[in-house]
Amino acid sequence: MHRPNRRDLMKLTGAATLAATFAGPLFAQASGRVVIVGAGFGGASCARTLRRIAPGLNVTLIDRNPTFVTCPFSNKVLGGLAEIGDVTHDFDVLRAAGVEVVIANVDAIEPDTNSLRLADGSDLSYDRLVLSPGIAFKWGALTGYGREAAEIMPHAWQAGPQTELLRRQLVAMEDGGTVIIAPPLNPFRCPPGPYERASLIAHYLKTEKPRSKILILDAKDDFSKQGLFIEGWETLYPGLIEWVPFGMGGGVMAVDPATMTLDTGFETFTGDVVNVIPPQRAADLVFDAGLTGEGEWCSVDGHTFESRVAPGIHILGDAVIAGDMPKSGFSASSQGRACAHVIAALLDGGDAPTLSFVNTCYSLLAPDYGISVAGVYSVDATGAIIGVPDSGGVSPRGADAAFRAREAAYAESWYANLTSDIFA
Amino acid sequence: MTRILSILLLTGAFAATSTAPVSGEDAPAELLAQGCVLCHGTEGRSSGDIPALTGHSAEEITNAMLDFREDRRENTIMGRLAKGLTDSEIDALATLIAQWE
Repeated sequence: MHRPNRRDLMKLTGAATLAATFAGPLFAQASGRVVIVGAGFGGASCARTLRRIAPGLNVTLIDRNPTFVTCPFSNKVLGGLAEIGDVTHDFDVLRAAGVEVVIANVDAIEPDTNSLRLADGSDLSYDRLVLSPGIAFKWGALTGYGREAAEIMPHAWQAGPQTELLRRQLVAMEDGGTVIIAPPLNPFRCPPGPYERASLIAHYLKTEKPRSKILILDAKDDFSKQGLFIEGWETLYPGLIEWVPFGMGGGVMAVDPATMTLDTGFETFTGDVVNVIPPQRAADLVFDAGLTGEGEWCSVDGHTFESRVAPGIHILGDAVIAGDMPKSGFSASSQGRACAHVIAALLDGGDAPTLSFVNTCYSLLAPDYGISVAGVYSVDATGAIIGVPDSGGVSPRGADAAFRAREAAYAESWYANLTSDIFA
Repeated sequence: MTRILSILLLTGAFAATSTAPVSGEDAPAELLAQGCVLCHGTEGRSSGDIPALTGHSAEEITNAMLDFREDRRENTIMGRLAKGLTDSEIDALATLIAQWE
């Protein structure tokens, strides 16, 4: 029996927009192989969306790790409010949805054969390539902060063992100790992250080690959601958190893990627990392949999220300077879904659709005190990704406790819904 | 690094297949709806305190979004998001979301 297609339904309903009434996949005729590197928010979202809208496509998702530990809510682990397992996601459901998940390292991109060379020497060919590899740390940008230093002064800016290490250090610290957090200059992954971290560590210290202090030595003079964080800290943790901006001598230039000291050039600070969040750039995979061009981050044409250096390769997430979009897991997921629509359309023989993106990020200052930032984005004629004027923004200042509690509850729901849609 | 970059540029191994869409068109409803799914759950089935988007008529969704956009309805975040959407985008979303059960 002839299966109804869009043309049949259009004759029946005369509907101008079919999508709402047609129950089948959007791009049923799309064929080919899509390879995606990076099974985080960007890559896994792209893969899951492709399977939903273009089931005829072969989708291969490559990651070096067998599970994905989210940076979002990893600060809850640091604060003793969650376990590492609560923020760890496996790929079983992605596999069940028809994504071929390959656990491997990628050695090189081979443009002349449209393939990737994996670390085991094998090649993986593709019709479209998506890279969502995340960040790399600029080791040595802070004198003394190399890979070995991270085992003593954890960054915990890639979630997993580093998160657990930092948590163990916090648990082992004596009451009355000092926790130092050193956030970097922009741009870096998750702009409000270091300040949510300070908040949730403060929540832990206030209860368990009340004589302790947190010192933030910042390379910057301002930070994301600053007014809201400062207001919250004064309410929740008065006297516990001290933020030293760059202009007041907060910029760390060198560290010495052996003595647990940080040197700003004016003063040396000693911490009992030291969390250095070092300067960052795009991950090695894209950096070494020349995809960051003359800079340290990838740039893309927002119409398709194809690299401006190498059209045909889509790049997503933290590795990209995506115009007005912040570097967040939510942004990466939004980009991954849009990219899936582009690729499905192209492999279906059509044109890329108009794209739209959203970012919504919650920060928890305490289990019942949440704040948020939101943004809606479109693409201008030059391919720049711009915030829609007169929309978006952060939570209001001066809101009452009930408002903050609602946003905290929404934060829990946000995390559950976001991760479930991708991984469950 | 330089070798791969020059290969990419010289051989044009990646044909410039990016096709910019017709300007002025809205993003497709299914893509706009991804922005909702991310917080409200797969096909609007929410876990936790964020409201589910299932079981509403297109008119209810449209009215809610317009109320958020025009500051007629109390909210923590939806006003900021609704202000980023046009009438036609809200209309398309409402039609699609009304299908969610």
